[in-house]
Amino acid sequence: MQDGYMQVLADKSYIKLDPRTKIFILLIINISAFTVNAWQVIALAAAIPLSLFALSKKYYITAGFSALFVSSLLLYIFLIDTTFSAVSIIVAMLTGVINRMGPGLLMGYYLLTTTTVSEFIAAMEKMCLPKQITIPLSVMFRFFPTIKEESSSINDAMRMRGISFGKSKGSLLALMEYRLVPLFISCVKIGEELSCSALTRGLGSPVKRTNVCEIGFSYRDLVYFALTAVTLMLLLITKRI
Amino acid sequence: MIKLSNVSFQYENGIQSSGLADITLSIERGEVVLLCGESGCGKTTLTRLINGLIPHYYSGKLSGEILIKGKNVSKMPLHETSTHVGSVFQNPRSQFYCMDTNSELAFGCENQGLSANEIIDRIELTVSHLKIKELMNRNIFNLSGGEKQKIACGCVHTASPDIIVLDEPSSNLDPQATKTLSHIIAHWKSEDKTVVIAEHRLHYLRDIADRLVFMRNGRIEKELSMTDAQNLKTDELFAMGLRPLSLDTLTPEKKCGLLNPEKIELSGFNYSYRSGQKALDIGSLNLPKGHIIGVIGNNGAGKSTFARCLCGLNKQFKGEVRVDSRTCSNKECLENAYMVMQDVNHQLFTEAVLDEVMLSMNEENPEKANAILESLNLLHLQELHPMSLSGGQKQRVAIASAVASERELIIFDEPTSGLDLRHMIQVSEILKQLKDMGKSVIIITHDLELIMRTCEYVLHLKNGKVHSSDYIRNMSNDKLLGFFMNQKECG
Repeated sequence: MQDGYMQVLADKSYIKLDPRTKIFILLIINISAFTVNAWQVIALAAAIPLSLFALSKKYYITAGFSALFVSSLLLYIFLIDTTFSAVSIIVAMLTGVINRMGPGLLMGYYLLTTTTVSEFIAAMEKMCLPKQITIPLSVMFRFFPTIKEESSSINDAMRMRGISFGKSKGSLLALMEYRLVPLFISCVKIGEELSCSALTRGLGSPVKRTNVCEIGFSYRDLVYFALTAVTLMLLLITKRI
Repeated sequence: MIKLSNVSFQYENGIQSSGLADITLSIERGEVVLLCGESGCGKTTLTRLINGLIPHYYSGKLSGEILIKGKNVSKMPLHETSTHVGSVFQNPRSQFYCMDTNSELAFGCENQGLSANEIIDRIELTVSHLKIKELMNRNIFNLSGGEKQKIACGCVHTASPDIIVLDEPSSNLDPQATKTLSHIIAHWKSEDKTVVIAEHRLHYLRDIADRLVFMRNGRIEKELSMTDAQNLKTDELFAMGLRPLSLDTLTPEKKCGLLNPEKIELSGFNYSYRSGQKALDIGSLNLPKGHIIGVIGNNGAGKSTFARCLCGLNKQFKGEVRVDSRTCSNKECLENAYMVMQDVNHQLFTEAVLDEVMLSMNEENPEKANAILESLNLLHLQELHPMSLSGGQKQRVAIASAVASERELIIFDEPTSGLDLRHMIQVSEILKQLKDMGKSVIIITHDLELIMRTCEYVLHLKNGKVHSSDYIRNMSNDKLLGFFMNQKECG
């Protein structure tokens, strides 16, 4: 393409997968995390995003999370069955949260940092999903960084006003309120302005949309589809037993 | 091109009082029309009529007829209007749908279903016309306000509608970006586009606009050719509540009162972003205590970083602030300075105005809180929820809580962005009031009028360094004006 104008990735330092592959992986990881107890499936589910980070040369993230997952899996396998006390209940809870939420969160992070909104829309349209699903989902997608931005300004304001946990002014509930109410109000306002802008630019038109960005499957997508399919099969097998 | 006949409109919920009454206006092809008037006069409402957001997004009671190229806008679906009318809005943070600049430029054309090749050709044309090559392939969230607004103009340019509507596009822009905006509008004019701009700041459109439409209370009160408008005397403009058409006539207000010999001493004011890029490189600097100090400079000059460091909000910052022989480290700065943010929505937390003020006090003292509210003309609102107030009232609540916190240093981040003359004067009176209370006030601003009205001292930052720092009375007027008027176009 001319000048390479349209070959954009949100973060180019990561390896590229088709958005559909990413969504599929995310879906399967989350299903397996919340339905299975077999550690093999959980380990596989964690290995998929970790391998993505490793292939993208994000070695610190990979090493850190690998260590976290491995240790929490080991704790889960060996400690839970052998001991029974208050400590083991806490450990079970903690490892449970890490094992079940961790892989999904990591995959979600990968999806968000490597997919642009237009790629996401293109993927959704290739899957023939209707506009009523595509548009709200893409807005949600776009909103994460906005929430982050707004929330950090609110955090600054709170620090400046000396509102923090532990001081007389900050009961936990009040702190939640102080943080969330301005955030909601900002987000509602931004959402409204955003829809105005999108509508004046013809979003929602019945014309078939063009997608300038190119998405498509490569051999990598094939490999990851296969891996995810294996996870899914394991999941079904362990459920059956 | 655009023809409004006997249009009246009232918003459905009635909260937004800025309806329209009996508007008749016709705009020819290739004309640049400037809509002006006080906040709430209905200029924004008028722009929404043209781009079809009324009645399709904002509903209400509409009568009369709005024709664009002979077609009735209110009967045309929004996506069809969008091929004829392009819009640029006030807030650069909330008008982008995608997260990267390239897809953003393509977005409007993609929705129209143009072919991919054509879209790419158009984008290349936009990039060369608006000189935004360096903004391509960027994440929207890493752009400055001025850069975002340029991209917003780029989006319109790519979709290439015949009519372009801008709603206070310069509110958040620095002098340099404003200059660029005026070049973009001039370019559109040369392409025979019809441009309608609702705006408070008029000076940058002085030589581009053809006609000035002055509105008050939802009616068109005056229509002037730009030559006639330029002949209006300062006091006539003032009576209309309009900002000046040119900046070079402004002079600093004479301020009596002695200079305070006491100083705020800043040392170690160096700060780099996590990426290693230097944001602030000041070292040490003395500022006069108990005065109103204006901080100027273009986007990226380090103004915000400077303010954040003064407030102690940058965690890695090692510098110190010394007032009255008391030295504040970074952490203590958090308790010494108070910033009134540009978006005050971020700093109002409680359910009632009075609680908001009390929250800032070390010990709750309702009488004192009432006195503060009274001084800022907020007493009658004390029971209301801060979020239900108007923008100006919210700002005053934030100021009230700053006063209640009894901090010596109060910092304002763009307190007058998007304000009309009357509200700007109101803010400047409050700033003076704060000074009379013995506070040191630091204002980060692009608003030359505000500086002329209030500031006694100006700190000019450039590339993270101090470019100049002096009392206004020691500065030549040309030097100050020079920054605001002789900006080179960037890019």
